[in-house]
Amino acid sequence: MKTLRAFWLRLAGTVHVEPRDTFAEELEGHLQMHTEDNIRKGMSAAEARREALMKLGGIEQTKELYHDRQTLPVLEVFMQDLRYGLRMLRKNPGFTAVAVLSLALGIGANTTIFTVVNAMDTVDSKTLVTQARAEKLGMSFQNFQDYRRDNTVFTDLAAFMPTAVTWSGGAEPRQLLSELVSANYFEVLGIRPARGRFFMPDEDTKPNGNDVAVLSYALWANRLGSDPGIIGKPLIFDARPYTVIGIAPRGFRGTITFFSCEQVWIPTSMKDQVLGGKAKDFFNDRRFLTVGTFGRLKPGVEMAAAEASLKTMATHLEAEFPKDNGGRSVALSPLADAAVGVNDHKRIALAGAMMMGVVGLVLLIACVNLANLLLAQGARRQKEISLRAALGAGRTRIVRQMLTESMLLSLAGGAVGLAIAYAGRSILWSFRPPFIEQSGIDLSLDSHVLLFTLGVAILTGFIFGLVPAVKASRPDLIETLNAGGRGGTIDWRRDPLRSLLVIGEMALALITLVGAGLFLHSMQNAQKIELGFESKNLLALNFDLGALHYEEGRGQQFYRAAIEKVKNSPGVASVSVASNPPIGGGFLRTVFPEGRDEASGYRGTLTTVNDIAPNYFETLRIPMVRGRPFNDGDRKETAVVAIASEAMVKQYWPNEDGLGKRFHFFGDPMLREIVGVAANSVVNEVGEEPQPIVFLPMAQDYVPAATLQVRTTGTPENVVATTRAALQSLDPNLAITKVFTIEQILSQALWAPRMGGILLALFGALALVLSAVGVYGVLSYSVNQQTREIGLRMALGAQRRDVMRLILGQGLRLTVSGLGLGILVALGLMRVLVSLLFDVRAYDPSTYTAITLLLTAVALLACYIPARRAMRVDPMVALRYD
Amino acid sequence: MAEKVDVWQGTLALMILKTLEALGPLHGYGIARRIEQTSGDLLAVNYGTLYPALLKLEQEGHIASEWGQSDNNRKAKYYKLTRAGRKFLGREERDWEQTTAILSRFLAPGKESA
Repeated sequence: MKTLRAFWLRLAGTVHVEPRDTFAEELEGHLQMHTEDNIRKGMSAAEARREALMKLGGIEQTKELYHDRQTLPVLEVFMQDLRYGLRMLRKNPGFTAVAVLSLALGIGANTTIFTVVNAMDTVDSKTLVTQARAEKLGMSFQNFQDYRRDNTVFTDLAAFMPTAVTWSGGAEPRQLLSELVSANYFEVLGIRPARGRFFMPDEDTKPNGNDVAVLSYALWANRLGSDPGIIGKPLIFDARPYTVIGIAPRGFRGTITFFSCEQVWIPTSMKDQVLGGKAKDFFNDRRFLTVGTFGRLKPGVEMAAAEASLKTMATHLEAEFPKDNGGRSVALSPLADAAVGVNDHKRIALAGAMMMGVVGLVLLIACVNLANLLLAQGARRQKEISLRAALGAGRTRIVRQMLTESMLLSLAGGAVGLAIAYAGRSILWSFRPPFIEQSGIDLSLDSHVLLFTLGVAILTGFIFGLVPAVKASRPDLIETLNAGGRGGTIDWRRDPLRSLLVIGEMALALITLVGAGLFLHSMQNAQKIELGFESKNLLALNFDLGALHYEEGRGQQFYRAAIEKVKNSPGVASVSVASNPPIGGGFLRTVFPEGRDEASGYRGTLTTVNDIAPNYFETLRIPMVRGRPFNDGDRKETAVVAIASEAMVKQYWPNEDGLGKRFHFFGDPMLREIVGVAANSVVNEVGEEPQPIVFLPMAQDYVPAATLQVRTTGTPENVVATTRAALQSLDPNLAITKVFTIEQILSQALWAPRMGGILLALFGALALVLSAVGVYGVLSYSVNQQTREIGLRMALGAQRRDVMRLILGQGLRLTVSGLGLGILVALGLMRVLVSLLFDVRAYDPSTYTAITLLLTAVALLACYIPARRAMRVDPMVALRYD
Repeated sequence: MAEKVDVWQGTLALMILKTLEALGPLHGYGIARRIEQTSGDLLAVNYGTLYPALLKLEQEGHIASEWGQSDNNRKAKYYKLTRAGRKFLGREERDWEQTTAILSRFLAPGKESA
């Protein structure tokens, strides 16, 4: 306490120094008293005063001691450095502006990207939650129950199954993402409700009274006005009231989506009410992979040990149910990886890392610029520094002074960078597509971001200020002072540090640009991928007859009527109905080609099933390769038929044409005959490998939830209203859960890569500009330093052309060395990266050539300006310069 | 000339406080003289070091100061013990006695082992 009080007093003393006069007065009193005493003892006046002074130990020394105690000397020196630094920076506004701006661009780019990465990375990856999964897709509910009951490694195991519900009773019926979850779902995740409660332990098992739901925060906030009174009230999902029991915490995204969105969680005991069609039939089938699972490892249990233990269980389950579990096992992975679906998470992490890498390089270039500028600045200030050293300033003091200046620069750069990031974030945000708009993703400059920026600023100021500071603090005293402070003719070749910085800068710029270029190239390739169907002028409307509790006869009739009605609307070319929306994935079933079945030990392969109405291929413009499409003649009572995609034929009957082949699905012995082969088309995402697809006639394999697909003659937006009205005239209670054009879907799918491409191009340009500034700075410094030498050469008969050649030569030598080094490093680096990119080679010669040429041109330009100045040097003026 | 020892900071603070306790409010010069006298000239104060020590004690709240008149009508700054300073002194004295008692037992080990 006492020490603290003293510290504050001293701090106050530092900021507001008390006049020393009071102490001087006190000291003077002291001396006089002492002198008088001495005189009384018999000394002469002069001797008395001298003795008093000697006893005191000197007036100035005492004052100094007193002052040190009055203030905080360390802080005082710092304040001095600060004031001095600020004065220096003000005195060189050009230098300050270039340094701050350079850093601000680098730091701004980093902060912007960090803001995005920061927002993406809110999954609590540290929780010890892991997912047990079989064959990538999940496990059957039966197996899950066995694992949950018998495992010894998890404190508990939870299950979830993504599905959708239609919420009616609001302004208009809406389709919501929902997860059927085991009652312990939230407990295992270890999260607390924002409002209300989560599920009771028996709400997924007790016979009834389980019609309860937990809402996501986004749903509660966006659609229910954050009404706290909603708890305990019913909401209608799939025409059935569910009591809202709780609200999940803000930002909680569930286990299946990457973005937090409007969704609901319902206990698995409600599966019969929520699920429709085959999912409902198969939910309790031990073979059907329905649920994703995750558990919390018991304390002290390692993931590898847990996996081994679960694999043993899997072996037992396989032995017990060979037909269902044949060939199946489990693997564990951290939930954070699985949350998005393993592939998505990797890709997003990769994109994030790539971006951070590129902006990191940009920052590095900016830092090299800073170091360069500081070096030049240090050289210009040699005289001042030598003077200070000659006057007795220690080296540490000089280094500290220079470091204070570089820190001032970098902190200012950080502050401006933050402003740039703020603007950048707003621009990025204004380009967000609608699907992110609803996600509640939070791109705020939070404390993490601020800390990040501060950290980057301090580090850059320190690291890149240190070398120039140390170098500046070690001037050759005598030589510099003798040379009259002009530093003489510092020869280019005798300045390896500065040359190295230019080389490094060019190399960094090359690596950045090559990386950005390859990434852009890869994205272009991804966009060129064939969809397999015509995406233009295609409209899709999702609806769910299951929610209206239609039985099959009524449903089939509805489909026929809908097609008939919409077909005759204006602007419509053709119409079909399919169970799978375009690029929207689909239901998977295990296919057994005729002659092989479960009993023979053949495991079958999961294949996407698409139930379609006639006209499907015509509407989507998917070409038939062989055989025939479905028609109205394919009915319940006629022969059971199917159409295979080319990839499916290749998978099951390689080297055959597939026509006339027969197969059956797991658990369904009926043989289906292939009557046609269709060209491959995209199932899940743009750029995927061709997927095997089997098409079945909707008339023979009814599903209650479907997508109406409309090929329009003009822009599909014009047809939305009439199509919607046509459907609703058939049943006014029908919820059209989603209306979209395929172009929309594509732009959504390609939004992230496009945005990434724009950003990369932007950062590439930034790297280019920064490195050009760096080369220009060093060369013009060098020309300045060589003014006398150039003047001398010209006086001795050198032509302007020669001078030009001399300076350009210096610049080019460094540029070429830098580019060479950059190419070598880039080749190594990109070899690693390219394996993650799409369809691009590490040494794509066009990218390298283009970028090398570009950089050379920019460097030439940067050299040309100082070279021209050198050329104009008037020998007489230069020689008389001193 | 008697061999003189520099006064180190902590002891100096203790001596200042003790002086102020014994003599009441006193100016810097008076304190210096008093310390020099009591220590029998063995400890020659480099008087200048007294003032930072006084400032430190004041900053810590052990003493307070105000301007007043000296005996021969000279303006001088007088220091006096505060309540906190008195308590602090009591504590320091006990500590000091304890330390010296222990040390003296070490320095005269013969008696102990006999």
